[in-house]
Amino acid sequence: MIRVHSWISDLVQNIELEPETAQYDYTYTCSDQFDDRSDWTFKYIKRISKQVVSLSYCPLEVELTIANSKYGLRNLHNYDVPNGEILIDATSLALPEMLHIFHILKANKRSFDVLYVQPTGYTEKKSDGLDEIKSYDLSDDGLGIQQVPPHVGPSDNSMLFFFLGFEGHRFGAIINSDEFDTRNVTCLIGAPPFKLGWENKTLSNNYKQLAEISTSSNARYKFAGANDPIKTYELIEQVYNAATYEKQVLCLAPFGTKPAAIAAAQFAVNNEKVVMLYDYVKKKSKRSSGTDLVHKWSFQYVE
Amino acid sequence: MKVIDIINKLSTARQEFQSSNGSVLNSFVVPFFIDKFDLRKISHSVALAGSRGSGKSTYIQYFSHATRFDKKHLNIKLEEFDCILLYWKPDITYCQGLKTNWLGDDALRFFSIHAALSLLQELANLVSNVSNHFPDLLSSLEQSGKFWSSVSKVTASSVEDIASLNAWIMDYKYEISTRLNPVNLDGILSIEPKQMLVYLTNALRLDYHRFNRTTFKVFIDEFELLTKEQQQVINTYRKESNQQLNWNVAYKLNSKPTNETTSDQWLQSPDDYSEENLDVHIESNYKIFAAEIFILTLQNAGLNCDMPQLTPEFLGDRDNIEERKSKKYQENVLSLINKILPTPSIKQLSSICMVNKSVKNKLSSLLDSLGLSDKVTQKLNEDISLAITVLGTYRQRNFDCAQISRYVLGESPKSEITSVKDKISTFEFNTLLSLNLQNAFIQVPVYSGFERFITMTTPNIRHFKELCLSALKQSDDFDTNNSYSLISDIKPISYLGMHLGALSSSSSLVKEVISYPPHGNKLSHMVNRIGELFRISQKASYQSEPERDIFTFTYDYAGADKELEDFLNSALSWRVLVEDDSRRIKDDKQITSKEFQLNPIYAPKFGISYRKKRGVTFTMDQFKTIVSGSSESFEGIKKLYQQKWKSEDSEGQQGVLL
Repeated sequence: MIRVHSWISDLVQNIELEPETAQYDYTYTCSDQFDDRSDWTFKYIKRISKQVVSLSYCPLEVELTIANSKYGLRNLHNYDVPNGEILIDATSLALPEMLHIFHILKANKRSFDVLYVQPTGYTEKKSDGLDEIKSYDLSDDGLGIQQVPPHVGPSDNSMLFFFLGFEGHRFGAIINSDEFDTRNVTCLIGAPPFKLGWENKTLSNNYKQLAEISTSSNARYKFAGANDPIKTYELIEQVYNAATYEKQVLCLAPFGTKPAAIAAAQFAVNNEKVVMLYDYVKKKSKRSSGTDLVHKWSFQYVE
Repeated sequence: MKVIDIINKLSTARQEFQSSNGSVLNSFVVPFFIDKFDLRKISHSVALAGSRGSGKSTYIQYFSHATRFDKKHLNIKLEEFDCILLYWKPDITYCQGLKTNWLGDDALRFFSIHAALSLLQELANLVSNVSNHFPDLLSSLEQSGKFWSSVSKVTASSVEDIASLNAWIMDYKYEISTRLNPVNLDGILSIEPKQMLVYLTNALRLDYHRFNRTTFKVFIDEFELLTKEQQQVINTYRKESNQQLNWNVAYKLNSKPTNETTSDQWLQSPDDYSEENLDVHIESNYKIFAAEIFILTLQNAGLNCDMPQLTPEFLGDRDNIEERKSKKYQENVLSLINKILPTPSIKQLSSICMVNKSVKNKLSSLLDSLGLSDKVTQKLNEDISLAITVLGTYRQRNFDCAQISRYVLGESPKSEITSVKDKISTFEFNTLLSLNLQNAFIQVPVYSGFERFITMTTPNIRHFKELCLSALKQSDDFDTNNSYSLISDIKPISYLGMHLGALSSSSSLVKEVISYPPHGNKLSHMVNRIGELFRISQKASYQSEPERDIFTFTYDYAGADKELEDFLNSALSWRVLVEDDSRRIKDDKQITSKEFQLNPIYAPKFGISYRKKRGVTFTMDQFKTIVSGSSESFEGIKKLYQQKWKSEDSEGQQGVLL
C-alpha cells in the first residue's frame, strides 16, 4: 500500500524560485495551464526537477498519455518508471490522472511526493440575471457521471460518499441520474476550508441538493480539513468499513478539493474494490486566482 | 393529518418508490389508452419512447409480473399467463463503465453476464410471485425437475429452489464485482442472456402447464444510456424476437439510440419494431389523468377520499375505465381538485390587479389623457378586462379610441365587437404579465390554478406533482394545528399561494437544468438567457404583439452541424425545449417550420407566458452565443433586443424573492 509518511506546508512567498536546485528527477504534471497557480507551479517544478513529464488521461480511449506515449489501462505495466526521485504536481492534474499514476507507482513499489498549491480565490460566475446566490464558474460540460476504470463496479447496493465542492450541479447530476441510492449517502464537507468562510460557499452552492437528499433522513455528514488528505483518508476508511460491514460497495465521488481527491485516489489504489466516480468536466482557464499555501506530501510504499 | 405531514409524505414518495419490489399495484392510475396500448398484446417488438417524467418505467412495470402477480391481489385471472413481462433496468453507470477501449472483447462478456444475472433474478422473482397465487407451481417444478436442472446447468452449481437460486445470484454478482480490478475472467461462466432465457423459459413451459403457451417479453428500460456496443447486442435480440420470447426497449423521447446490430442486418422500423410515443397517448386525457394521480398520491400519503369509489384499487383496475370516462365522474374528480387548487379566470386576475392603487391611478390618468368622455370612462372602468387591455395596448399604432368608445357604449357593429373581443383575449393576459414585471409591488397570480398547472406541465406528471406540492407548502394551514382526514378537508390554496408555489418550483427546475448531462452548462445558458430575453420583451411597456415566448433560428436541420443537432436532441430529450411545427413566427428568413419554446414550466421563473404566441428568429451566430458564448457577448444580444423591443433596462427584482 501507499501511505503518507510526512508533509510540509509553506506560503508561496516564502519559497524562492531561484536558484535551480533539482531535488527531483521526474515531475508528472498536466501540460495545459489554467491559472495563476499553474503558472507559479510550472516555474517551481522547473526549478526543483530535472525533467518535467506531461500526463493526461482520455476517458473515451481509456488510455493514459505519458510524455507523448499512449498506454491502454491494461498495459500500464509497459510503462517503465524512470529511476530517481519522483514528484506529482496535483495542482493541475485531475483525479483520473492521479489515480492512474498512483497505480503505476504502487505497482512499481515506488515512493513519491505530491505537490499542491492552494489558490486565494475561485472565479465567480458573472450573474446570468436573476440569481441571488453566488455561483462559481469553474468548468464546462464534461461527459457526465462515469465510473473510472479500473474502479468499476455495480452501483446498486453501493454506499455513495460524495465530496462537496463549489459546483452543486455536479452533485445534482448524481441525484438526477436516478442511478444512485441517495437515501444512503455520506457527504464530505471540507472544514476548515482553505479560507475561513468558504464552507458557507460550499453549503450555499449545494443547498438545493442537500435539501433534496435530506427529505430522506439518512444523509450523513463528515468533516475534514479541505487541505488535509490524511484526515480525509481516515474518514474514507471509516465509511469503507461501514459499507463493507453492510456488504455494500463504497462508491467515491471526490468532487471537492484536490487534497481530498488525493486521499480518494490513494484509498482506491490501496483498496481495489472501491468504485470511483468522475464527470470529466473541462476545467476553465483562469478558474482560480492567486497562490497561497504550498503543500508537499511524501508518499511511501509499504508492503 | 396536518399539512406538514402530508408534505413530508409527498416529498419522500418518489424515493420510497425507487426501493419497491417492482410492483406498482395501488400506486398506478390506469390511463384510458391502456386497452389500445397493452404492452403484452402488441405482437411485434416495441420501442417505448417518452419524455422525462412521463411515467415510462411505471407504465412498463404495471404490466410486469411483479405487479400482475403481486401478493396483494385477491384474484388472478388465468389470462395473465398469456404473456409475462420481465422488466430490466440495467445498472447504467456500471454498464457505461464497461468500455470496449478498456476491456476489449471482455467488455461485452461482462455486460452479458450482468444482463444474464439480472434476467435470472427476474425469473427467480417471477417464480416466487406466481407461486404466491399458484402454489402448485413449486410442486410442479420440483416434480418435473426440468427447470431446476436447467438452472443448475446454467449456473454450474446445484440449484433446486428459489432460496438457493437467490443465494447463488447474490454470490455470483459479488464474484463478478471482484473480477474487474484487476481484470480476470478465468473460470467465469459464459452465460449468453438470450440463449439462457430461451432455455429456461422452455423448461418452465415443460414443467408447468400454465406456462405452456406463454409469451415471455423482456422490457429493457433506459436503453439509450447503454453503450453503442451494448445496444447492438440488444438490437440483435430484438431482431430475433418471436412468439415465445420477445425483446423490447424503452428510451427517452428524442434520444437517438443506434439501430445497428452485431451483424450487418440493421434493425428497421416498422418491420422489426415499432416506436410508440407515450407522450402522445398521455396528452390526450392528461387533465383528468393528472387529477386522479394527485388524488391517489394524497390517498397514499394517508388522506381519505370523499368519493367512496375512488380508491387506489379502483384507479388501478382497467375494468373501471368506462366509468372513469363518464362525464359525471370526471366532474366530481375535477371539482374535488378545483376546490383545492381553484383557477382564477383571466378576468378575475384583472380584478385582482385593479385592486392595486397604482394600477388604478395609472389607468385613470391614461383614460384622462386619451380624452374620452365621462360616460365612456365610466363604462370602461366597469369593464375591467377591457380596461386592462387598453392599458396594455394604447400605444399600439392601430389603437383606436373611437372604436373603444363605440364598443363600450354598445354602438359597435358585429364585426367590431368580435375584433375588440379578440383583442381582449389576446392582450389582457399579456398586459397582466407585463404589469407584474414592470412593478415590483404588483403581484397578479398569473400562474395560479389547477388549469394553469395542467397547461404548464403537460405531459409531465412529475412536474405536475411538484407544482401541487409547492402549492401545498403555501397553504394557510401550513403552521396551524388544523388536521385533515379527507381530501376535501384541505383548505383551498390561495391564488397568491399557488402563484408563489409555481414560482418556487419553476425556479428550482431551472436550476436543475445545469445537471442534465452531457450538455448541462449549455442547456442552462440557453434556458436562462432565452428566458431573460423573453422577460425583457414581456417587460416592455409597448407591446406590439402578443407574448413572445417561442423562437427559431436559421438552420435547415440537414445534418450540416452535427454538434448543434446533438445539442438540440439533448434539449428535447430532457424536455428543456418543446418543439412544434405551427409556424407562429412570421418571418421570411425562416427556413423550416420548426419552432421551439422553453418548457412552459420555466415560464414563472422568468415572469413570461406559458401560452404559445409569438416569437423571434435568431441568427445562427446569435443562437450559438446564447448557448455557449461568454456573458459579455450575450450582453450584446441583450442590448440589441432591448432596443428593438423598447424595453428599459432591466433587472429590478420581481416582487418576491425567488
